[in-house]
Formats: sequence, C-alpha cells, structure tokens
Amino acid sequence: MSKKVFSCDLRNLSDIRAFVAEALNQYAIRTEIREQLILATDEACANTIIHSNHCCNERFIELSLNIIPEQKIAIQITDAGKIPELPNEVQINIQENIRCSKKGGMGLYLMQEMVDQIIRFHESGKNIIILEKRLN
Amino acid sequence: MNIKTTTESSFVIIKPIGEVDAYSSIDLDNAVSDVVKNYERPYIILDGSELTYISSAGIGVFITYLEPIRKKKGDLVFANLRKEVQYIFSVLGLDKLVIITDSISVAKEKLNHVKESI
Repeated sequence: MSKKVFSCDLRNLSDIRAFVAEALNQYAIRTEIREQLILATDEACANTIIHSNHCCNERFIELSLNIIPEQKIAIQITDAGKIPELPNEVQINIQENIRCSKKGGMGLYLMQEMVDQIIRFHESGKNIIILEKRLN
Repeated sequence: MNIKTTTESSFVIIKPIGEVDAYSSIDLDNAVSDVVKNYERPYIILDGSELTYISSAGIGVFITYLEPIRKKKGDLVFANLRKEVQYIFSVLGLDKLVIITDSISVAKEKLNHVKESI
C-alpha cells in the first residue's frame, strides 16, 4: 500500500497526480486505466480541498492506494473538513452548461465515469472517499 | 503550466503548455478572458499540441467563455488536441459541440467559414 499526506493547497494537485502515477507505475496497468485513475483522484482531491477545506493549507488530506494485481485498485482520500453534500449520481447536459456558462458538476461526472465505484462515508470525524477500479 | 498567446491576422492562438488543473486553470481563464474582453469578434484557436493534461476545471474555462464568444459572433476552435485530452472532451460530449481540427491551418479555415457566415 502507498500512502502520503498533502496539505489542502491546490498547488499540490500536480504532486498528487505524480504520487498516483508513481504508485501505479509499479504495476502492469494499462495506460488508459492509469490516466482514468489519475483524473478521478485529481477531481476528488480538488473537490475536497476546495469545498470541504476551503483551500486552507493548515488542513490535510491523506491519500492511500491499495492495489490487488489483476483484480482491483482502491484509492482512498481521507480528510477532516466539512462533510460534503454530494449527490449519489450526477448527470450533465453539456449543451445547457455552455448556454448558461455553467461549469458545475463536471468534476463529479468525470469521477463517476473514470472509475467503477465511488464509496463515500463519514467516520470518527473523517470524510472518506474510495475510488475503485476493476482490473479484470 | 505556461501559456503562449499569439496573434496571426485576425486569429488569436492560445497555447497552454503543460497540465491544466484546478490551480493552473486560473491562468488559462485569464488568457481566454483577456481575448474575449479585448476583441470585438474573438476568433480563438486553442492549440493543444503541448497540453498534456486537463481536468474539469480547465474544461470549465472553455464552457464559461464559449457562449460569450459566440454572442460576439466569434468562435473558439480546438487544434492539435492530444489523444488523452480529446478523450475527456468525448466523455463530456463536448467534442460534438465544438470544432476540433488536426492543425492550426484547418482551424483558421473553419474560423474563416464562421466569419463568412455572419
């Protein structure tokens, strides 16, 4: 398992992507799956940093990757910020977004399209998101 | 991420170099916003040849300005998008709503059609 803590600063998103890429590079994972997981993690972390922690760099998120070769990858994001109020499933109408110059919802939609399952729960004062992707 | 903005006759070419995420999208927003504000008819080519990654925040910049650009009878055309960036456009369905070309010269031709149709 790979684990690392980052402060809630959007400047850390590039390091977060590099951390996920490095962990995934240790396994024979298709480029397409690797890129999908990097994007889903980036979107989840950006949401957590902005909406749950208001970009306060004295707060932290912990990332952990658990890889079961040829079976699945689970990326867990843990923080102690505000509990997010998020819908279980997001639909977007990009034409309507363009018409209204509205960019909301795209990050959640991309997350849901990039992985097989998103698990969210709140436990002992922590918000936990698990992004799961099957490898077989 | 760096952004190069150049002008060629009536076209403005915006070229992001590197990765656009929720942090660096602010620079992309400023670059596009400047053109939209300063040009009566913004004919913008987004050169994606060195755009190696984009998240929803970067796509959000295009979504924010497409309608204001089109209201000014201009357009935003995408050229040389890398496979991984074009994939994000297709997941969101944006590839069906904007012009995507394989070269700057074709992008200019497409924008010339937009100009002629006014």
